Amino acid sequence: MPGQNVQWPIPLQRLPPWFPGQMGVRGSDTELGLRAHSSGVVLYVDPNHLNANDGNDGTDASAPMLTVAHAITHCQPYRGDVIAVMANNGWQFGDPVLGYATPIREEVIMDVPGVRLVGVASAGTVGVVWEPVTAAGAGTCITITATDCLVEGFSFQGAGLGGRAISIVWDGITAHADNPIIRHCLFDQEIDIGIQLDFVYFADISDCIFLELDAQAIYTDPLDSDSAFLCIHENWFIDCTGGALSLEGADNCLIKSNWIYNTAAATPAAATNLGIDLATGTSNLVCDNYLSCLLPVAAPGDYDDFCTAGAADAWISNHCMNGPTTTNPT
Amino acid sequence: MLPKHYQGFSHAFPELAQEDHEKLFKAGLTTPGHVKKASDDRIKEVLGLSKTKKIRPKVK
Repeated sequence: MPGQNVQWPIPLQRLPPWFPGQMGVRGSDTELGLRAHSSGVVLYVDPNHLNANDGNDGTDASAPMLTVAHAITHCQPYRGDVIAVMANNGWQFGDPVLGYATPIREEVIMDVPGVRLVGVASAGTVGVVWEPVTAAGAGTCITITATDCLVEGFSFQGAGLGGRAISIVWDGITAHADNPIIRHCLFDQEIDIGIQLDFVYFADISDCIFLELDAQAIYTDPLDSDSAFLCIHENWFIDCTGGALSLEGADNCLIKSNWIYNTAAATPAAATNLGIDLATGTSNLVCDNYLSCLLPVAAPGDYDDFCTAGAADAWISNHCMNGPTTTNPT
Repeated sequence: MLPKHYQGFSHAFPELAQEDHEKLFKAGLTTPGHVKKASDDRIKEVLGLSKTKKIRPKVK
C-alpha cells in the first residue's frame, strides 16, 4: 500500500538555536524547525490546524500555512525545500465527526524545480486526501512544470468532480518538467486521468494504486508530444476504464513489475488496449508485469487484444492468467 | 535546436528532414504536440505545401 511507504521523517537537521524572525510573521522565529537539506526548509501545510494561515512563515508545524499553492511561492529552486502536507480525515469513508475533515482542495502548479511535495499521513495506507475543485472534470490537482519535482503520499479523490490528478508538461519554453518522481500515491475512483504526461523524459512512477479511474491511469494524449525514458514499476491498476498504461508513442521506457487487473480481460471479453498500449512507440522494455488476460488465442480480451507493443520493443516474461508470455503483443 | 526537441520531432515526424524540424521550432512550434495541434495553414506557412503533404497528405 502506497501511503505506508512514504519515507518520513527523512534525515533532518535542527535549525540554529536562535533564528532571526520576521516581525509580525508568526512562526518565523521558531527554534524547533527541521530541515531536510543543508539549505532547504520544510514548509508545513495543514488546512485543519487552528492556526493555519498563509500569512504564517510555515516552517513551524504549530503555525502552518493554509494552502499548498502559497507554500510553493515560498520555495526556491534546488534549495532542498520540502512541502509537508499534514494528514487529514478527508477519506471518503471516514467519520467526519472526528474533525480534521477538510481534505486538500486545490489545483496547484509546481513551477519551482527541485521541490518535494509530500503528504505526511501519520498512519493509514493511502496517504493525504487531495481533491480537485473545478467541476465537469476540467480540473487538475497538481500540474508540474518544473524540473526535478517529487510528489508522494497523496490519495487523489474525484469528489464527484472528476478531472486529472497530476499533469506533467515539458514544452521547452515555459514548462520543463523532466525527471519527476511520483510515488506512494492512490488515484481513486471518480478521478478521470491519474497521471498525464506531455513530452516528459525520465519520469519515475512507482508504488501507486490506480483504482477504477474513469479514463486512463497513466496517459499521453496522442495529440500531445510523446514521452521517453519513463520508468514505471510496481504499480497496481484496477479496472481503469480508458486503460492502465496508455502511452502511445513512448520510446525507450522501462515498464516492469506492474499488476494490471481488468474485469473484461479476465472474463475474457473485449478489452482492446486497456492493459499496456505502446502503439507507435519504439524500443521499450516491458518485463515481469502481471496481466489479467489469457495468452494469445486470437480472441477478445487475450494478450494481443489487451496490449500493443511498439516497434523494436522487447516484452520479456510478462505473466498472463495461464502462463508467461513469449512474444510481443500485436 | 535543443537535442530533446530534435529527438521528439525525429520520432514524431520522420518524414521530415532536420532542417524542417528546425523551421518548425523557430516558428514557435517547439514540440511535436504543437505541430499536431497547429492548423494546416500554419504548417503550410512554415514548411510550404510539398513538405506539409508529407505529414498531412490530405492538405491542398
